Amino acid sequence: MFHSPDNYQVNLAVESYQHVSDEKLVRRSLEDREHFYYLIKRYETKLLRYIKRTTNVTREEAEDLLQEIFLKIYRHLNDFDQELKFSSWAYRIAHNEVINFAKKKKLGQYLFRSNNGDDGGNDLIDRLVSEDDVHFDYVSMESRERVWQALMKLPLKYREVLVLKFFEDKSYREMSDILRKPEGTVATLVNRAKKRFGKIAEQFQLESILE
Amino acid sequence: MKKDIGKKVLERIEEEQVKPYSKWRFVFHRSVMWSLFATSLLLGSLASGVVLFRLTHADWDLCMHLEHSIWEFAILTLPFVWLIFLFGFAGFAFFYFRRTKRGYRYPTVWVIAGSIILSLLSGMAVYKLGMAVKIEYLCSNRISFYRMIQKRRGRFWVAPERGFLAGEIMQVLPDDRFRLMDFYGRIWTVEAKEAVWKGRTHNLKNLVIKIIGKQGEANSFVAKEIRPWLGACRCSGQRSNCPGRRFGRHGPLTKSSPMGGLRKNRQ
Repeated sequence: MFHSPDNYQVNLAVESYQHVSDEKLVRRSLEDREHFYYLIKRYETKLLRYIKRTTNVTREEAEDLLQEIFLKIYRHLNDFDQELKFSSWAYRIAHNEVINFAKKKKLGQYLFRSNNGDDGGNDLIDRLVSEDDVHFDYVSMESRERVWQALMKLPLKYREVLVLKFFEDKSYREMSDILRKPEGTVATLVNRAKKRFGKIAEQFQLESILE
Repeated sequence: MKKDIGKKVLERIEEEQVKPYSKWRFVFHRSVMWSLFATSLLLGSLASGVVLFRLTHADWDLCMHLEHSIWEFAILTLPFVWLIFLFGFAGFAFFYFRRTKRGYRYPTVWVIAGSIILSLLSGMAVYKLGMAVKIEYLCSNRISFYRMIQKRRGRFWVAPERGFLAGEIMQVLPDDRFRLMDFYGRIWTVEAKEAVWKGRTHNLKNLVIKIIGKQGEANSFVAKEIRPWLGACRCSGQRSNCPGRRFGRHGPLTKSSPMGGLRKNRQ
């Protein structure tokens, strides 16, 4: 039975694991599954945000999907390629699961559904802004909503590259590893996505934000 | 209240008894992908070997003298079936290479072009080792569609009034003569005293050849140059190797038969 520590203990433990590399945590997780908890803690926020940014599912659905992603990561731990960043590998699994999920649940319904705000008022900020983001710090809430709506108008393949490039700050190499596409193809996708987004942005009067 | 995802995941791992897959499973998967990639390349090289063989034995030097236009000659001579195989296997090679560990990092054009170049290079070895001839004849013997294509190619060479004849040597006669059955099943007596032989000049029986020369009287033909049909081919007693056999020794050709139209023109 997994004995979950209380919040204080968790914070202490997570902090003590702060300097342990992902690769070491993977190896330790293979020996003792409880170490996997600290890998989850390290990536749950990032991956949850990625899911929400790319799919527009509710928080509950995103959390269910996230559980599936971590289970898949756990099953595939022996396949982790030490030459890749663990984050790229984890995002790759998340990317595959998001696509599978979208296919299962009918793409259109999930990806273009309007957000009714049933996840709480902070959800939009959560989707678009993280503690690491500097891009949208100065942007008003209303504009953020318009950015979000414009982003949701894009097909998944374009939205995903924009999210990875501009919201998750991934390099082309990392994006190549996540999407399993050559860097040149990724760069082309980003350019096309930017052009498509630019056109949509005109409809949403976002030019001033994007400049 | 915010869920503790980590706790939930670990609980599910325990409840559902989830275990990491063995690393051998992934090693096996990668090995399968590499094997399929290598198999695709190998099949591509066999195809390109036959392409090279067919192109080098296409008698391009004579195409202007044959009774068809150069385009018609090119269309009937180019080994489209094998080219389709070559490109098809290059496509498969690309597909499987992309599924290897690092395959996704290489641009599509590079991988496809690389597969074709590798297939062509190893195809040269296939050709040099004589495997291309064997494949060609294996296909001629076993695949009726392929045999039909071969017969169509034979049409170019049965035009005795223009100085071209092709078929299988049935019997070697004294005084540098031999009896030949053309691709329509007609028997010719060929005079080869002055002929320049290209390719093998021994074990002539059942050898399929192309002859450049002059038509004589009553089914006789004077040869000036004799070339092997698709290289140093020999029917080895397997009658089906010779396209002419399909029509029978004396069987009349009809308009519906693949060579019927040509025979009508000749007459």
